[in-house]
Amino acid sequence: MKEKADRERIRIALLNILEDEEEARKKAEREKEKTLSIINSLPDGLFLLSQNFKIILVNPQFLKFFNFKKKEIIGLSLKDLLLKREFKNLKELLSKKNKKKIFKKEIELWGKFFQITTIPLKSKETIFLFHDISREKLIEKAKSDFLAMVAHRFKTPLAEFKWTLDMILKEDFGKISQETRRVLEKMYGENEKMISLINELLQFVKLEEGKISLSLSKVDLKAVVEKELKNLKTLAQRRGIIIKTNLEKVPLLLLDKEKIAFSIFNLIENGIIYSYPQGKVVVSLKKKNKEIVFSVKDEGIGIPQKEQKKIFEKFFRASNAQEKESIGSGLGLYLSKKIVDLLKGKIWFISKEGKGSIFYLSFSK
Amino acid sequence: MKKVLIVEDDKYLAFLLKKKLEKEGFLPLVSNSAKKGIEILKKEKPKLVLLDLIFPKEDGFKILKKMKKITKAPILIISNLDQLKDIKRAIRLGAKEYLIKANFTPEKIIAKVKKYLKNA
Repeated sequence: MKEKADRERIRIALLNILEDEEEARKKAEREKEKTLSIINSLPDGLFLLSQNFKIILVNPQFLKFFNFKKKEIIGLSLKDLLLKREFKNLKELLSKKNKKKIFKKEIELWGKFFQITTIPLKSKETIFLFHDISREKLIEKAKSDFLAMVAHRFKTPLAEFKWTLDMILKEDFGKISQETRRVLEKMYGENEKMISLINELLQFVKLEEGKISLSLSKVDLKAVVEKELKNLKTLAQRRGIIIKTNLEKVPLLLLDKEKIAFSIFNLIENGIIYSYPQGKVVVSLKKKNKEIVFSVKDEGIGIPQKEQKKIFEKFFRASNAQEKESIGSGLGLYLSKKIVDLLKGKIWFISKEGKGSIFYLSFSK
Repeated sequence: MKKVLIVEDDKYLAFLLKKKLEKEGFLPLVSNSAKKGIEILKKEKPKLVLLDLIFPKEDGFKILKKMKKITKAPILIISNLDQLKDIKRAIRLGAKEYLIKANFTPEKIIAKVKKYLKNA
């Protein structure tokens, strides 16, 4: 009697185990189907590379991107895939297949632009994800082409004017009177302002995109300062401003050379423009503890106390600045601050109206 | 007299450069189209080339590449394109200098010409 009851209990237990297993199997099956339908409906192309570098899974979008048939791809090694469509740009990926980290790269393939991500899994397989960024690249190129066209269209007439005035002043077209010289010099200066304004506006447009790309390299700040000083030599001479320099040799810094040159140019230019006639501007570059500090000191009009907190605002020009220089974009300091912030530096100033200002830029070594 | 080739589609700027170069004792040759510029380059073998990059129908960079194959003379770019990537590209393709028109004057350009022709 007991044996029969025992056997019955064992039978029921076994049936329960089988039911549970069936349940688990069905659950796993549903999970697998869910995962597969997610993978198959992804707008990105995807394939899975096995431990021994063969493709074991591929989604419809990947096949669609490159006009493959599923049976051509499954089981292929990465090397063979590269040969199939002459994907030589993908060669770099070959070396990434067994790295531990996620790897991202923008690559052009078959006329389209992709951001390719390789994701190594704990199970030693690797996911390859292809995200189509062709449209973004097209927009980027359109913006870049537009800026180049604006630069060309606006700066060409200004260059023509500049060159003509310069040649007349150098008497290449014959002698000119003192009075003619004076008025033409003034025009030359106003034209230079226009060129500076266009440059600031272009820089502003580039930075306001939101998509700001820095191109970093090891920059010798001393060389940059010296070059910008050279660019501003004529401006200083024309205004009778003496520039004194105090430039130390400083270690190389990881910076965006073009953008930091713009900021340095802007600060020195301000020092010159807002000085009183025959004034003095001191440009320094020194190492101070763990920082490298660049400064421009002038004895010019300074910034009124009440307006100091707005000085880095877009389009802001101090009231006394507007009086002294009718033309100005109000963008120079705004852009310089934006650039310095992006490069993880600091920008600040001390100023007293009627006495002058000192503007500082610093970066940590 | 040293021959200097100016390849610039802006006829007015080309005229200004030509006048300045003549004054300084050079022999300027002017072409307003890149294609004609290459013909003159082959025929006249100038000692230096001033090349713009923007032409209405031609690609300045392609012209630069072609010219580098024809001549060893220094090629100075004069352009208003100021994007770093264009500057880097021109230098990489063999231009000796990249002068942005709005930042230079004819006098300063001549100074650069003299610098590169000092040893020619």
